Amino acid sequence: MARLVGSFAVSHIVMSPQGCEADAGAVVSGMREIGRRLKSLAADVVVVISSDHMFNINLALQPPFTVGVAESYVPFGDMDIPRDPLKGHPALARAIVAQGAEDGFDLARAEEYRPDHGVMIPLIFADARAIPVVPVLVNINTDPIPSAARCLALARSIRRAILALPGGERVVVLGTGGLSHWLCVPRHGEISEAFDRKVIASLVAGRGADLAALGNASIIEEGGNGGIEILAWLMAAEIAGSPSGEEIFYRPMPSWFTGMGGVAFHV
Amino acid sequence: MARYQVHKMIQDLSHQLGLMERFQADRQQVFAEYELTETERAALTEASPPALASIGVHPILQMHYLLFSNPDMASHVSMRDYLATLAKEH
Repeated sequence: MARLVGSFAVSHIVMSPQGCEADAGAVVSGMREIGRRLKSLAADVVVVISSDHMFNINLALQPPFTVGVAESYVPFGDMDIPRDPLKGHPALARAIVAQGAEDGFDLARAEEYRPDHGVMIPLIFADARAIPVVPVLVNINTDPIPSAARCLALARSIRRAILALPGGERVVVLGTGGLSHWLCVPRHGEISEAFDRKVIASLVAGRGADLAALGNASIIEEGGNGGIEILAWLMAAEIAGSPSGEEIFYRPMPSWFTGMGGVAFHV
Repeated sequence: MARYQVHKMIQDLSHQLGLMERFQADRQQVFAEYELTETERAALTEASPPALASIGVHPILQMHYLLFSNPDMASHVSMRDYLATLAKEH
C-alpha cells in the first residue's frame, strides 16, 4: 500500500522583491526549505491542494471541488510562470475520486487543467516539478464556498484513498494559499498578522479543528477573501492526521498584499 | 454582481486566441462585440478598482482585468525576477 510520508502547507505567490529584498529572501528561503524537506522524503507523487484563480474554474462552470486526473499538465503561465509540463498521477487521482464517491463527494474530474500560480509557485520554489502531481482544487471564488467542515471531511476521504492505494508509492501532500489578504474588496491590500499567527499556531499545535469551527464567514472576516485559501492548509493538516507541526517561516509582506507562511505537519 | 457578459469578456481575454491582441489594439471594439452597456464600457475604460467594483466585477476577475490594463502592476505581480536565480540553482 502507498505511504503518506509528508504534508506541508505554504503560501502560493511571490511578487517583485524590489523594496522588500530581505523579507522576500526570507520567504524564498522558507519555500526552499519546504522543498528541501519534501525532496528528502523521496516522494513518488504530490497531492497539491489549492484554489484556482479563475483561469480554469471560473464563472462558466463552478464545481466546488475538482481533481486533476490527467497524465500531464501544462501550466497556465500566469505571473510569467514557465509552461514546462508536469506529470500527473492518474491512478491516485482516480482513487481519490472513487473514494470520494463512497464518502459522499461527487468530485469533478479534469483531464484538461492548466495549473496556475496556486499550484506552480510552491512546486517551482520547492524545485519539485519533476514529481508527478494530483491537483485538488477547492473553489473559494463562487458561493457557496465549501464549508471548512466539508473540506475536512474531504481531507479524511483523501487520506483513506492514499492509504488504500495499491503499490508502494510515497505520497506527500501540499496545501497551498493564504495567508491573510483582501483582494479587490473593501480593506484591499490589508494583512492581518494576528490572523496569520493564529492560523500557524493553531495548526502546529494540532488544533486545525478550532480554525475550522470558526466557519468560513469568520475566516473571511478575520483573514480576508483571500485568507479563506487556508482551507487548503486545514485539509493538508487533516490528511496528515497530524497531532502537531512545525512553523517553517512567516513574513507579513505589505508590498505583496499578503501574509506569507509555511508549515510542515508531522505525519 | 456584474452581468455575465462583462465577466465572460474578462474570462475570454485569458483564453480566446487573438482576443487579447485585439483588446490591446482597440478595447472599445471588443466592448461592442460583447454588447456591453455604456456604464460598463465607461467602468472598463477607466479600469480602476473603484470603477470595476461599481459595476460589480468579481474580485478575482477585477485582478485579471487590472493586470491586463496595467503593465507596471503585471510586472510587480510576477515571478520573473526570480527566474534567473532559480535556473542557476536548480
